[in-house]
Amino acid sequence: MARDLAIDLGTANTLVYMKGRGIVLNEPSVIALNRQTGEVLATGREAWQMIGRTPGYIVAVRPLRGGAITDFEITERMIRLLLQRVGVSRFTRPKVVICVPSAITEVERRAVTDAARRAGAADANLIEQPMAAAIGADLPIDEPVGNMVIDIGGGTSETAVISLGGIVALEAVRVGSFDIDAAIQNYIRREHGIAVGERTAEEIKMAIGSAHPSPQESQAEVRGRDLMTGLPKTVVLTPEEVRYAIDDVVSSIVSSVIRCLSKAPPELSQDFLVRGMYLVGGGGLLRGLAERIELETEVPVRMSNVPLEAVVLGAGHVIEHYDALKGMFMGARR
Amino acid sequence: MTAMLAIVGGVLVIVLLVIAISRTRHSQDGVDSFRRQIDALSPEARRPVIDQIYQSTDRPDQRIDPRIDPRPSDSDPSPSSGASAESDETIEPDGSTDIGDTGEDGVHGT
Repeated sequence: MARDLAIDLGTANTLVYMKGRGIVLNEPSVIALNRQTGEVLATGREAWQMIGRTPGYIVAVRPLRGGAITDFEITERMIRLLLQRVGVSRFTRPKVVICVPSAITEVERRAVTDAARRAGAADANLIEQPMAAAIGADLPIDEPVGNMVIDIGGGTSETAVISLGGIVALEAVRVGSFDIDAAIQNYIRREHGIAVGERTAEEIKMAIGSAHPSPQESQAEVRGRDLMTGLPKTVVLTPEEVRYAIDDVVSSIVSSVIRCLSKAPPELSQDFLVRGMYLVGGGGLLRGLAERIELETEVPVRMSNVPLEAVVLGAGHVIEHYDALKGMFMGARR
Repeated sequence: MTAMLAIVGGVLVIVLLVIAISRTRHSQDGVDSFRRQIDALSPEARRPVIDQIYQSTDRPDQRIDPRIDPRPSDSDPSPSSGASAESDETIEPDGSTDIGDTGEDGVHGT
């Protein structure tokens, strides 16, 4: 008998929750393929380690961008391999709940469910990421009070107001922490004339990146390839520079939070002042982001205790109470 | 003729009764399913799922976040989707952070 699964199919990482077992898989959403034969060489962490380090015949790709499937066939193969790793076979076909960005189109929605069904799921249903995040972050969404959740993922940032088990107001932008990395890469290329890779940009973000100044900040020595000479070169990057580089992306996220606040009914708005907003998702871990949002919205911002797992935990709860909560699936209410 | 009318009337009454009952049941179904949904979203119902993660994050050896895991070596870096205070950087004697390119896109660190 197959155990039902909840999947957080993220642009950066894929997490799988198995009914009755908890989180059984947490891997980067990356697949490595043989370019010539199309054969899958690695998935998850193993494939992630190959990014940018492969010989010509191997390609390591992220099949999801901006929360959407960019390559349907590769995504399907990745889901199939991930499901196989958690014990799904031709004879054990589980029910699957998949978390997706709330702003995905009907076509993208169908692409995700089709990919899961072809990968071995008996039935595939979708749930909005902010709703799953609110459930997983342990917010009192069963009560008639305003709960606000800001989910900043690799490719999307979503803000939702939730009350009585439903989304009251929602705002989503296809901007996330990968855009922050890209902004850092572009800045270094433009201002310092050196090329750095995706992963180095991410390291810079984690080491000295911030959305708001803090008292203890240090600068970083960054090594890359000089665009003029082609030789290795070291430059010193300050936190102010990184803040400047990522400001457009951060501002776009903050603006979407403000738009969501303005959409909320007044009765619920007053709750936010007392209860605050909750940050979840890997992008929410950017230093100073909570302070920046708090400063611009004048609403307290709190970090979830489980920012990276909140979404899959929420979906996991839905799979544990499938019959009672199936009304929350995307399309069920429309 | 009277018997026929009585039969038609009886059938009509039965049909109306069935419709009325099913409507009542239907509206009651809505109330019940909403109640079930709200109950399933209560903190008590969520406790077992939420507690699992708190238990595992309490124990460093069971942390599921690849970024929080201690890294065995430089050759086994961990991926992440967001930002975190932890990374592979080297803190220089002057307090700065040293970040080398990991070799992506043909770029190699020194």
